[in-house]
Amino acid sequence: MIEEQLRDAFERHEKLAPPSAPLREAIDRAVVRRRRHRFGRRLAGAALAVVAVLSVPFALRDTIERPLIGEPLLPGSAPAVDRPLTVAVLGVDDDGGRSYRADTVLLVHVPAGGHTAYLVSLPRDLLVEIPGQGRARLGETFYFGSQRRGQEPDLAEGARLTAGTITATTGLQLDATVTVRYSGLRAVTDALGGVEICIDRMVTSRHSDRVYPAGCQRLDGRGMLDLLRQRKLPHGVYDRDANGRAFVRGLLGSDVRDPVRLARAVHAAADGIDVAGTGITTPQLLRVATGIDAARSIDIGSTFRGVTIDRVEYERLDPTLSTPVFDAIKQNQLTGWVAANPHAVR
Amino acid sequence: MTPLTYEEFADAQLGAMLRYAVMLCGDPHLAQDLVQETMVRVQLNWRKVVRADAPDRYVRRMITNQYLDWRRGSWLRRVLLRAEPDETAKAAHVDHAQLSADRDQIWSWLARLPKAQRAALVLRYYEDLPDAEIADVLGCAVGTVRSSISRALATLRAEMVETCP
Repeated sequence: MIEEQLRDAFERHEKLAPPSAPLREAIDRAVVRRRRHRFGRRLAGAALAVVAVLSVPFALRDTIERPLIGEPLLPGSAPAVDRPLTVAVLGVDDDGGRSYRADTVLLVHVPAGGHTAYLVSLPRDLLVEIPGQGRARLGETFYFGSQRRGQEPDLAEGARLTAGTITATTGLQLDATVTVRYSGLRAVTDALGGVEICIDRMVTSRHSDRVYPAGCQRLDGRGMLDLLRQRKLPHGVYDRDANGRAFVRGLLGSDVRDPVRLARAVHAAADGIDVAGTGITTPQLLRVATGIDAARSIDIGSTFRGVTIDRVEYERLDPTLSTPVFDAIKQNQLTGWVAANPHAVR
Repeated sequence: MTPLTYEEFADAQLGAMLRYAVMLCGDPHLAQDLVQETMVRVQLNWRKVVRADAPDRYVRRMITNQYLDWRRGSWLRRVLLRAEPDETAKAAHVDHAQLSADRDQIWSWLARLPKAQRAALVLRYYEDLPDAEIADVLGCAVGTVRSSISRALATLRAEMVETCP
């Protein structure tokens, strides 16, 4: 009978239970706080970018009345470039300004006289040999290059070492590197008044409570950054890189006719983005970009070929997929290769 | 089949978890803190939780462990650091006053039991779990579950004899 009384007592006190809805919100808020704490300022992912470098001149092209913009960014009378261009776009996150690593490595190839930019992502965990320094993940290369004991990180050096490593890994000569920080990505998106991005599958943010449905949507800088940072996706960073390429396509589709807004975008780009070229100047690069009217992604790395060495996991490229693409770029025959392999491109 | 998401789980289970925690703590504020603390960890480690055979039992085990681990200092701190009292607390307060007016003796005796014994009672007489599952939640042997329960019942019976002879 004591058992019965116990059951009754428990049942009677059920109404003590607080309502769950406010608690649910409190939990979510606490999770966000703790995650933020956990990851600190190490924003995963993203800065994908290409961004401005491609989009801004792209927008310029359609503008009859050109706004006043900073001299160095004006393609103006830069000498024409009559050779193919390969540019590495490095999306870097900053760890509270103390260190940088490249989370996104995107090769942008523009065939000679072409109007299409081809985008190839390299996985950030790609196993690479840094010339003269040994084994690393591709994304870390930037860190090794930029880190200066007791001094501010040197981004130009990080970009240089990463470019050298990409060349050693893929055999591709790079004409320029474009380093995009988070701030650049976000500022450009906001300056453009938001960018429309079309994604293949729904993404649920682990950093905010937002859900980004599959399909097209217009996002502001904050939302875009949040979406592009997500890498807990079915195919992890591959899906994130795919979202990054979708963002670039969205940027290229941005219709910017408002000169004020455009000027803002240009300035935003100039702030968060560094360009370093070998034998090519920023205005020249922009001039090439100005001629681009489409961007297509080439998929070379959606198969998982992980390898663990000394308890560190690395990704490897599938040479049957990547080598033909690299070779075609080297021989300036990518346009032909794409025509022959339409399934590899989107 | 798509795996259970945290959101689905919380939709379905949060209320039950709160009730379970109330039975353990005997106090709505502590129960809320207990569930919040646990569910934050559940959400942060969701992939691990969802791999368990029965996620709801796994989470009950987390709540139970958290409850058993709470030492005076830590929960006192939690109570003192609570943010502004919300409506939840007010509503619960009324009930509480009313209930204490009823002088619910069994409830107050429960508060004096060792935590593990109370947890065993809650699992058997509130959650209606078989002893094997209780043992799983408490992380002990079935025999230990049975002896805790019989010891707890003996204590309650003794109290009862004392009060109403």
